[in-house]
Amino acid sequence: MTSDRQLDLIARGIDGDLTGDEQQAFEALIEEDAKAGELYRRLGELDRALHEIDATEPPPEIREYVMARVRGRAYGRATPGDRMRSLIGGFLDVLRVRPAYGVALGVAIVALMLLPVALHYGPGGGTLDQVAGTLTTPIGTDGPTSTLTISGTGLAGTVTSRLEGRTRTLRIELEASVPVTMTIYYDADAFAPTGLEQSFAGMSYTLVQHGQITVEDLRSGHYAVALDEIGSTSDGVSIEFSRHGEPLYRGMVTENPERR
Amino acid sequence: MTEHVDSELVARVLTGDTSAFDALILRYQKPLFNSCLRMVGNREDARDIVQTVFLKAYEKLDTFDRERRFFSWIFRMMMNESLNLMDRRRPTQELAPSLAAPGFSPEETLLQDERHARIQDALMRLQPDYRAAVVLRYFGDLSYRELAYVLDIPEKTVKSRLFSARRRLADWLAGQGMATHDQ
Repeated sequence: MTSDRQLDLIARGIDGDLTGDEQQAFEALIEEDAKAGELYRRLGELDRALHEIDATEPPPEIREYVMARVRGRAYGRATPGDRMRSLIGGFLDVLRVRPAYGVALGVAIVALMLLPVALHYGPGGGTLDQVAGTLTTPIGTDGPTSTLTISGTGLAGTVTSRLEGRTRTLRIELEASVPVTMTIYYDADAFAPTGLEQSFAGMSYTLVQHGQITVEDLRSGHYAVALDEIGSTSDGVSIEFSRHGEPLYRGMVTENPERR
Repeated sequence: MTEHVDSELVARVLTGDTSAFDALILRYQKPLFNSCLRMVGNREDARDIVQTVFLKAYEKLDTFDRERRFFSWIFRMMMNESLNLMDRRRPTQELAPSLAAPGFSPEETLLQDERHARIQDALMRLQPDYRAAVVLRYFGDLSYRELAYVLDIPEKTVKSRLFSARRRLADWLAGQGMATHDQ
């Protein structure tokens, strides 16, 4: 039977952490006690095998991505010029590492440019006369419910967002005499939507694999979408209402300050 | 010496020198990534976690206690992120044998030979707490004292946990009829 003291000697023998007296006791132990000797031999082999495993090179995007984010948010005081340079530099770096962001930004810019047109003059798009409140909260932040109120031609409603634990729930209450299309964009690596079948039973909705839920012909009613956070990183969640392909409203529900 | 360099780099970052943070990444991304990879057994998850850890470290750098090693501090964050990820993925059960060591196919050249793949497979069968001790010791090259800080357990517990983990690994590998080392 190998005692705790003997096991400790074996462990420290493997780590090369024995004092002079302990070294003598250790050598005597593995010579005289066959079981202890065998255990030391096996653990020693394992120790050498573990040390022999070569380290793999980390993917370059770790450094590129982190530094692209860091450059835009330097500590200390910076002049407006410094800030602008670092913002542009960081942004260009992000685009280089994550080209999809460039596409997303382009889409967002075009959408923003078209938004006033869509709100007031869009063919068949109707209008949103009033948008009040904001849904946007930092990602992963438990807190009070955020609320957005919208009203316009043939459409009125509220959208609330609340994070509880790892589940963010969006509740949509609409009065829509003219149907609208609602699209929720999210990072599929970080969120998993639940409850869609119940909420949109009998309705036409599509779930795109890379992170998009689209519900067409949304009319008056109460709907809920739960997004369970499953990943360690995310770019956030946004929601859009549109009519006949023309955007009425689009905004962030939750955003990741680290990926802003 | 290492601590001194890290401390200087941290101080430079806090004055707005982002290149100093780049230097910290270059110093530590390799052991951090390798340890994380051995913990989660998946290259993509390891990459995302290490990115997250560096970004969090940057955000919280002004709260970093410079009496501590920067290295230990980010390893602690990495381990928490890794354990959180594993909790979310597998809340009630250990890694199934068929899922062990995903991402370690020959094509990805993550492991040089079958023996190393077997060791990784055996690592993934350990409970996360035990795996963490082995990973930090061998792939992070942390001392017992640093292991105690990173795992937030007493040094004595580190020793017993590491010893138990080694025995389990050796038993598992012996059960597979595999010597861990060439004679």
